[in-house]
Amino acid sequence: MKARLQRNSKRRRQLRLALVAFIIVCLGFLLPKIVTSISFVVTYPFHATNQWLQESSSLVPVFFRDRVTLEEEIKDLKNQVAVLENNDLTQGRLIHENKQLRSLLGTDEAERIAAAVIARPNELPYDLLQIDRGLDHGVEVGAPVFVGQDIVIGLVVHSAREYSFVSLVTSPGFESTAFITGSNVAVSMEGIGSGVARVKVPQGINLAVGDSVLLPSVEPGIFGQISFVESSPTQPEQFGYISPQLSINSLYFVSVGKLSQITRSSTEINEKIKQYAEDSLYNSEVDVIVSTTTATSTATSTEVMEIDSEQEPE
Amino acid sequence: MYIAIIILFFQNILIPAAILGLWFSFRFGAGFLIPAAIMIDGYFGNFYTFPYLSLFSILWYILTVYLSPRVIDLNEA
Repeated sequence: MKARLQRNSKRRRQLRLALVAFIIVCLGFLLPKIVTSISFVVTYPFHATNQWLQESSSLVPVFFRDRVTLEEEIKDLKNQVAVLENNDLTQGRLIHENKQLRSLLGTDEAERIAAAVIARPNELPYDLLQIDRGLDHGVEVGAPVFVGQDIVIGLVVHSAREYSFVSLVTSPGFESTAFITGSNVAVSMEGIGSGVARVKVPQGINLAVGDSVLLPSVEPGIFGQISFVESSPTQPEQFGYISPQLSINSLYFVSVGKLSQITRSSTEINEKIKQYAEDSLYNSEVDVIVSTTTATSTATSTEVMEIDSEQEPE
Repeated sequence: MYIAIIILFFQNILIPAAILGLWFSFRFGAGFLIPAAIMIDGYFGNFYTFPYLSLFSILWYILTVYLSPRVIDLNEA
Protein backbone atom coordinates (compact mmCIF):
# COMPACT_ATOMS: atom_id res chain seq x y z
CA MET A 1 0.00 0.00 0.00
CA LYS A 2 2.79 2.41 1.03
CA ALA A 3 4.86 1.43 -2.01
CA ARG A 4 1.91 2.07 -4.32
CA LEU A 5 1.33 5.49 -2.73
CA GLN A 6 5.00 6.35 -3.21
CA ARG A 7 4.88 5.22 -6.83
CA ASN A 8 1.74 7.28 -7.45
CA SER A 9 3.26 10.41 -5.92
CA LYS A 10 6.45 9.89 -7.97
CA ARG A 11 4.40 9.55 -11.14
CA ARG A 12 2.44 12.67 -10.26
CA ARG A 13 5.69 14.54 -9.74
CA GLN A 14 7.01 13.37 -13.09
CA LEU A 15 3.85 14.42 -14.89
CA ARG A 16 3.98 17.79 -13.13
CA LEU A 17 7.56 18.24 -14.37
CA ALA A 18 6.50 17.43 -17.94
CA LEU A 19 3.62 19.89 -17.65
CA VAL A 20 5.89 22.65 -16.31
CA ALA A 21 8.37 22.03 -19.13
CA PHE A 22 5.53 22.18 -21.67
CA ILE A 23 4.31 25.47 -20.19
CA ILE A 24 7.87 26.89 -20.40
CA VAL A 25 8.09 25.84 -24.06
CA CYS A 26 4.70 27.44 -24.78
CA LEU A 27 5.81 30.64 -23.05
CA GLY A 28 9.02 30.54 -25.07
CA PHE A 29 6.96 30.16 -28.23
CA LEU A 30 4.91 33.23 -27.23
CA LEU A 31 7.91 35.26 -26.07
CA PRO A 32 10.77 34.01 -28.26
CA LYS A 33 12.97 37.05 -27.68
CA ILE A 34 13.28 36.37 -23.94
CA VAL A 35 14.14 32.68 -24.42
CA THR A 36 16.70 33.43 -27.13
CA SER A 37 18.33 36.10 -24.95
CA ILE A 38 18.61 33.65 -22.03
CA SER A 39 19.91 30.91 -24.36
CA PHE A 40 22.50 33.29 -25.77
CA VAL A 41 23.94 33.78 -22.26
CA VAL A 42 23.64 30.12 -21.20
CA THR A 43 24.96 28.62 -24.44
CA TYR A 44 27.76 31.17 -24.89
CA PRO A 45 30.48 28.79 -23.56
CA PHE A 46 29.25 26.11 -25.98
CA HIS A 47 29.11 28.65 -28.82
CA ALA A 48 32.68 29.75 -28.05
CA THR A 49 33.89 26.14 -27.82
CA ASN A 50 32.13 25.28 -31.05
CA GLN A 51 33.63 28.26 -32.85
CA TRP A 52 37.06 27.42 -31.49
CA LEU A 53 36.78 23.80 -32.65
CA GLN A 54 35.59 24.80 -36.12
CA GLU A 55 37.65 27.85 -36.92
CA SER A 56 40.75 28.01 -34.73
CA SER A 57 44.10 27.08 -36.20
CA SER A 58 45.59 25.96 -32.90
CA LEU A 59 46.80 22.39 -32.51
CA VAL A 60 43.83 20.73 -30.77
CA PRO A 61 41.02 21.91 -33.12
CA VAL A 62 43.17 21.20 -36.17
CA PHE A 63 43.77 17.72 -34.82
CA PHE A 64 40.03 17.19 -34.36
CA ARG A 65 39.00 18.61 -37.71
CA ASP A 66 38.76 16.24 -40.57
CA ARG A 67 41.91 16.44 -42.68
CA VAL A 68 40.21 14.98 -45.74
CA THR A 69 37.53 17.70 -45.63
CA LEU A 70 40.21 20.38 -45.55
CA GLU A 71 42.02 18.85 -48.50
CA GLU A 72 38.76 18.70 -50.45
CA GLU A 73 38.09 22.33 -49.64
CA ILE A 74 41.54 23.34 -50.92
CA LYS A 75 40.95 21.41 -54.14
CA ASP A 76 37.53 23.01 -54.57
CA LEU A 77 38.92 26.48 -53.97
CA LYS A 78 41.75 25.92 -56.46
CA ASN A 79 39.17 24.98 -59.10
CA GLN A 80 37.12 28.05 -58.30
CA VAL A 81 40.15 30.33 -58.57
CA ALA A 82 40.96 28.84 -61.97
CA VAL A 83 37.39 29.42 -63.21
CA LEU A 84 37.22 32.92 -61.73
CA GLU A 85 40.50 33.95 -63.34
CA ASN A 86 39.03 33.14 -66.74
CA ASN A 87 35.81 34.96 -66.01
CA ASP A 88 37.47 38.10 -64.68
CA LEU A 89 37.38 40.13 -67.89
CA THR A 90 33.80 39.23 -68.82
CA GLN A 91 32.61 39.84 -65.28
CA GLY A 92 34.43 43.16 -65.05
CA ARG A 93 32.74 44.37 -68.23
CA LEU A 94 29.31 43.18 -67.06
CA ILE A 95 29.73 44.73 -63.59
CA HIS A 96 30.74 48.04 -65.14
CA GLU A 97 27.75 47.96 -67.49
CA ASN A 98 25.44 47.00 -64.62
CA LYS A 99 26.70 49.89 -62.48
CA GLN A 100 26.13 52.31 -65.34
CA LEU A 101 22.57 51.10 -65.86
CA ARG A 102 21.87 51.26 -62.14
CA SER A 103 23.13 54.81 -61.87
CA LEU A 104 20.89 55.70 -64.80
CA LEU A 105 17.91 54.21 -63.00
CA GLY A 106 18.84 56.14 -59.87
CA THR A 107 19.39 53.15 -57.62
CA ASP A 108 22.20 53.58 -55.14
CA GLU A 109 24.37 50.80 -53.81
CA ALA A 110 22.82 49.54 -50.61
CA GLU A 111 24.97 49.29 -47.51
CA ARG A 112 26.23 45.79 -46.78
CA ILE A 113 27.65 44.09 -43.71
CA ALA A 114 30.54 41.73 -44.36
CA ALA A 115 30.32 38.53 -42.33
CA ALA A 116 32.43 35.43 -41.99
CA VAL A 117 30.75 32.04 -42.13
CA ILE A 118 31.15 30.22 -38.81
CA ALA A 119 29.25 27.06 -39.66
CA ARG A 120 27.82 25.56 -42.83
CA PRO A 121 24.86 23.17 -43.23
CA ASN A 122 27.14 20.13 -42.97
CA GLU A 123 28.40 21.39 -39.59
CA LEU A 124 25.00 22.23 -38.12
CA PRO A 125 22.05 20.03 -37.17
CA TYR A 126 19.79 22.27 -39.31
CA ASP A 127 20.02 23.37 -42.96
CA LEU A 128 21.28 26.82 -41.98
CA LEU A 129 24.36 28.94 -42.35
CA GLN A 130 25.82 30.58 -39.26
CA ILE A 131 27.57 33.94 -39.64
CA ASP A 132 29.64 35.90 -37.13
CA ARG A 133 27.59 39.11 -37.28
CA GLY A 134 24.46 39.73 -35.24
CA LEU A 135 22.23 42.39 -33.75
CA ASP A 136 25.24 44.28 -32.37
CA HIS A 137 26.52 44.77 -35.91
CA GLY A 138 23.17 45.78 -37.38
CA VAL A 139 22.03 42.48 -38.89
CA GLU A 140 18.24 42.42 -39.22
CA VAL A 141 16.01 39.35 -39.29
CA GLY A 142 14.72 38.93 -42.84
CA ALA A 143 17.68 40.69 -44.50
CA PRO A 144 19.04 39.11 -47.69
CA VAL A 145 22.46 37.47 -47.69
CA PHE A 146 24.68 37.74 -50.76
CA VAL A 147 27.78 36.09 -52.12
CA GLY A 148 29.78 38.55 -54.17
CA GLN A 149 27.90 41.49 -55.61
CA ASP A 150 24.47 40.18 -56.42
CA ILE A 151 24.13 36.43 -55.92
CA VAL A 152 21.52 36.00 -53.19
CA ILE A 153 21.80 32.79 -51.18
CA GLY A 154 19.25 33.23 -48.39
CA LEU A 155 17.64 35.30 -45.69
CA VAL A 156 18.56 35.92 -42.06
CA VAL A 157 16.07 33.95 -39.94
CA HIS A 158 17.49 34.48 -36.48
CA SER A 159 19.84 37.07 -35.13
CA ALA A 160 21.48 36.96 -31.70
CA ARG A 161 23.88 39.61 -30.39
CA GLU A 162 27.04 38.15 -31.91
CA TYR A 163 25.87 35.67 -34.52
CA SER A 164 23.03 35.05 -36.95
CA PHE A 165 21.51 32.11 -38.77
CA VAL A 166 20.73 32.26 -42.47
CA SER A 167 18.04 30.12 -44.05
CA LEU A 168 19.23 29.17 -47.52
CA VAL A 169 17.14 29.51 -50.66
CA THR A 170 17.86 25.82 -51.10
CA SER A 171 16.67 24.86 -47.59
CA PRO A 172 13.65 22.51 -47.61
CA GLY A 173 10.42 24.49 -47.28
CA PHE A 174 11.91 27.79 -48.52
CA GLU A 175 9.56 29.16 -51.19
CA SER A 176 9.98 32.23 -53.36
CA THR A 177 8.96 33.67 -56.69
CA ALA A 178 11.61 33.24 -59.37
CA PHE A 179 12.02 34.58 -62.86
CA ILE A 180 13.66 32.35 -65.44
CA THR A 181 15.45 34.10 -68.26
CA GLY A 182 15.40 32.41 -71.63
CA SER A 183 11.88 31.08 -71.27
CA ASN A 184 10.91 34.39 -69.56
CA VAL A 185 8.50 32.92 -67.06
CA ALA A 186 7.82 33.74 -63.44
CA VAL A 187 7.32 30.63 -61.34
CA SER A 188 7.42 29.59 -57.73
CA MET A 189 10.69 28.07 -56.58
CA GLU A 190 11.13 25.72 -53.64
CA GLY A 191 14.23 24.57 -51.84
CA ILE A 192 14.71 20.83 -51.64
CA GLY A 193 17.88 20.70 -49.53
CA SER A 194 21.46 19.62 -50.24
CA GLY A 195 22.15 22.91 -52.00
CA VAL A 196 19.48 22.44 -54.67
CA ALA A 197 16.27 24.36 -55.42
CA ARG A 198 13.54 23.36 -57.85
CA VAL A 199 11.12 25.17 -60.17
CA LYS A 200 7.94 23.66 -61.53
CA VAL A 201 7.00 24.75 -65.06
CA PRO A 202 4.11 23.53 -67.24
CA GLN A 203 5.00 21.35 -70.23
CA GLY A 204 5.41 23.28 -73.46
CA ILE A 205 7.52 26.05 -71.94
CA ASN A 206 11.05 25.84 -73.17
CA LEU A 207 13.16 25.28 -70.08
CA ALA A 208 16.86 24.86 -70.81
CA VAL A 209 20.01 24.11 -68.89
CA GLY A 210 21.94 27.34 -68.33
CA ASP A 211 18.90 29.63 -68.03
CA SER A 212 19.52 32.17 -65.27
CA VAL A 213 17.18 32.23 -62.29
CA LEU A 214 16.49 35.60 -60.66
CA LEU A 215 14.64 36.42 -57.47
CA PRO A 216 12.54 39.51 -58.22
CA SER A 217 11.73 40.08 -54.56
CA VAL A 218 15.37 40.77 -53.70
CA GLU A 219 17.37 43.71 -55.03
CA PRO A 220 19.70 42.69 -56.73
CA GLY A 221 18.69 39.08 -56.86
CA ILE A 222 20.49 36.64 -59.09
CA PHE A 223 20.27 33.14 -57.69
CA GLY A 224 21.84 30.69 -60.11
CA GLN A 225 21.38 28.71 -63.29
CA ILE A 226 19.26 25.74 -64.21
CA SER A 227 21.62 22.80 -64.08
CA PHE A 228 19.23 19.96 -64.87
CA VAL A 229 15.78 19.66 -66.46
CA GLU A 230 13.52 16.73 -65.65
CA SER A 231 10.81 16.49 -68.27
CA SER A 232 8.56 13.56 -68.96
CA PRO A 233 5.99 13.99 -71.82
CA THR A 234 3.39 12.03 -69.86
CA GLN A 235 3.55 14.47 -66.94
CA PRO A 236 1.76 17.85 -67.00
CA GLU A 237 4.75 19.61 -65.49
CA GLN A 238 8.49 19.67 -65.90
CA PHE A 239 11.06 20.42 -63.22
CA GLY A 240 14.16 22.53 -63.40
CA TYR A 241 16.84 22.01 -60.75
CA ILE A 242 18.96 24.97 -59.75
CA SER A 243 22.16 25.04 -57.79
CA PRO A 244 24.01 28.21 -56.82
CA GLN A 245 27.20 29.05 -58.71
CA LEU A 246 29.29 28.51 -55.58
CA SER A 247 29.26 25.51 -53.30
CA ILE A 248 27.74 26.53 -49.94
CA ASN A 249 30.23 24.33 -48.12
CA SER A 250 33.15 26.31 -49.52
CA LEU A 251 31.82 29.71 -48.44
CA TYR A 252 33.98 31.78 -46.13
CA PHE A 253 32.58 35.28 -46.47
CA VAL A 254 29.15 36.64 -47.26
CA SER A 255 27.58 40.08 -47.18
CA VAL A 256 24.34 40.88 -45.43
CA GLY A 257 22.04 43.42 -47.03
CA LYS A 258 19.34 45.54 -45.53
CA LEU A 259 15.71 44.65 -44.96
CA SER A 260 14.77 47.40 -47.43
CA GLN A 261 16.27 45.30 -50.23
CA ILE A 262 13.41 42.83 -49.88
CA THR A 263 10.24 43.60 -51.78
CA ARG A 264 7.06 42.26 -50.27
CA SER A 265 4.42 43.87 -52.45
CA SER A 266 3.19 41.78 -55.36
CA THR A 267 2.90 44.89 -57.55
CA GLU A 268 6.61 45.63 -57.13
CA ILE A 269 7.51 41.99 -57.84
CA ASN A 270 5.38 42.06 -61.00
CA GLU A 271 7.05 45.31 -62.06
CA LYS A 272 10.46 43.72 -61.56
CA ILE A 273 9.48 40.64 -63.61
CA LYS A 274 8.24 42.94 -66.39
CA GLN A 275 11.53 44.81 -66.28
CA TYR A 276 13.55 41.56 -66.54
CA ALA A 277 11.44 40.46 -69.51
CA GLU A 278 11.90 43.82 -71.23
CA ASP A 279 15.65 43.82 -70.55
CA SER A 280 15.97 40.41 -72.18
CA LEU A 281 14.56 41.85 -75.42
CA TYR A 282 17.17 44.57 -75.51
CA ASN A 283 20.63 43.97 -76.95
CA SER A 284 23.05 46.83 -76.59
CA GLU A 285 25.50 45.38 -79.11
CA VAL A 286 23.11 45.52 -82.08
CA ASP A 287 23.46 48.47 -84.47
CA VAL A 288 20.41 49.76 -86.27
CA ILE A 289 21.06 50.64 -89.91
CA VAL A 290 18.80 53.36 -91.32
CA SER A 291 18.86 53.88 -95.05
CA THR A 292 17.90 57.40 -96.29
CA THR A 293 17.50 58.42 -99.95
CA THR A 294 17.41 62.04 -101.13
CA ALA A 295 15.43 63.03 -104.21
CA THR A 296 17.98 65.53 -105.48
CA SER A 297 20.90 63.17 -105.46
CA THR A 298 21.25 60.07 -107.62
CA ALA A 299 23.47 58.43 -105.02
CA THR A 300 22.03 56.74 -101.95
CA SER A 301 23.57 57.67 -98.68
CA THR A 302 23.54 55.32 -95.78
CA GLU A 303 23.83 56.42 -92.22
CA VAL A 304 24.62 54.21 -89.34
CA MET A 305 22.83 55.23 -86.22
CA GLU A 306 23.88 53.51 -83.09
CA ILE A 307 21.36 53.07 -80.34
CA ASP A 308 22.58 54.60 -77.17
CA SER A 309 22.76 52.21 -74.26
CA GLU A 310 20.92 54.80 -72.17
CA GLN A 311 17.85 54.49 -74.42
CA GLU A 312 14.99 52.63 -72.82
CA PRO A 313 13.92 49.38 -74.52
CA GLU A 314 10.59 49.38 -76.26
CA MET B 1 28.45 13.56 -20.15
CA TYR B 2 25.72 16.21 -20.18
CA ILE B 3 28.16 18.76 -21.64
CA ALA B 4 29.46 16.20 -24.12
CA ILE B 5 25.92 15.62 -25.46
CA ILE B 6 25.44 19.37 -26.02
CA ILE B 7 28.84 19.82 -27.68
CA LEU B 8 28.25 16.81 -29.93
CA PHE B 9 24.88 18.27 -30.97
CA PHE B 10 26.48 21.66 -31.69
CA GLN B 11 29.15 19.91 -33.76
CA ASN B 12 26.46 18.10 -35.77
CA ILE B 13 27.74 14.71 -34.60
CA LEU B 14 24.18 13.56 -34.14
CA ILE B 15 24.37 9.77 -33.93
CA PRO B 16 26.88 9.66 -31.01
CA ALA B 17 24.88 12.49 -29.38
CA ALA B 18 21.68 10.42 -29.67
CA ILE B 19 23.38 7.30 -28.28
CA LEU B 20 24.80 9.25 -25.32
CA GLY B 21 21.40 10.93 -24.81
CA LEU B 22 19.69 7.55 -24.77
CA TRP B 23 22.11 6.18 -22.21
CA PHE B 24 21.94 9.36 -20.14
CA SER B 25 18.11 9.22 -20.12
CA PHE B 26 17.98 5.76 -18.55
CA ARG B 27 20.95 6.37 -16.24
CA PHE B 28 20.15 9.83 -14.84
CA GLY B 29 16.65 10.63 -16.16
CA ALA B 30 15.50 12.36 -19.34
CA GLY B 31 14.21 15.35 -17.34
CA PHE B 32 17.72 16.84 -17.31
CA LEU B 33 17.73 16.91 -21.10
CA ILE B 34 14.69 19.23 -21.29
CA PRO B 35 16.53 22.45 -20.22
CA ALA B 36 19.37 21.62 -22.62
CA ALA B 37 16.87 21.13 -25.46
CA ILE B 38 15.14 24.45 -24.64
CA MET B 39 18.51 26.25 -24.63
CA ILE B 40 19.57 24.64 -27.94
CA ASP B 41 16.24 25.64 -29.53
CA GLY B 42 16.75 29.17 -28.23
CA TYR B 43 20.30 29.25 -29.62
CA PHE B 44 19.13 28.22 -33.10
CA GLY B 45 16.16 30.61 -32.96
CA ASN B 46 13.62 27.81 -33.23
CA PHE B 47 11.20 29.57 -30.88
CA TYR B 48 10.46 31.94 -33.78
CA THR B 49 9.29 28.99 -35.87
CA PHE B 50 8.76 25.70 -34.05
CA PRO B 51 10.76 24.36 -31.07
CA TYR B 52 11.13 20.79 -32.34
CA LEU B 53 13.84 19.70 -29.95
CA SER B 54 12.12 21.02 -26.79
CA LEU B 55 8.85 19.30 -27.62
CA PHE B 56 10.66 16.14 -28.59
CA SER B 57 12.56 16.18 -25.26
CA ILE B 58 9.26 16.49 -23.32
CA LEU B 59 7.74 13.60 -25.28
CA TRP B 60 10.96 11.63 -24.75
CA TYR B 61 10.77 12.34 -21.01
CA ILE B 62 7.17 11.09 -20.82
CA LEU B 63 8.12 8.01 -22.83
CA THR B 64 11.10 7.20 -20.60
CA VAL B 65 8.97 7.67 -17.47
CA TYR B 66 6.72 4.90 -18.74
CA LEU B 67 9.49 2.81 -20.25
CA SER B 68 12.17 2.84 -17.55
CA PRO B 69 10.21 0.82 -14.89
CA ARG B 70 9.61 -1.85 -17.52
CA VAL B 71 13.28 -1.88 -18.57
CA ILE B 72 14.37 -2.14 -14.93
CA ASP B 73 11.82 -4.94 -14.31
CA LEU B 74 13.19 -6.84 -17.31
CA ASN B 75 16.73 -6.45 -15.99
CA GLU B 76 15.67 -7.77 -12.58
CA ALA B 77 13.83 -10.71 -14.11
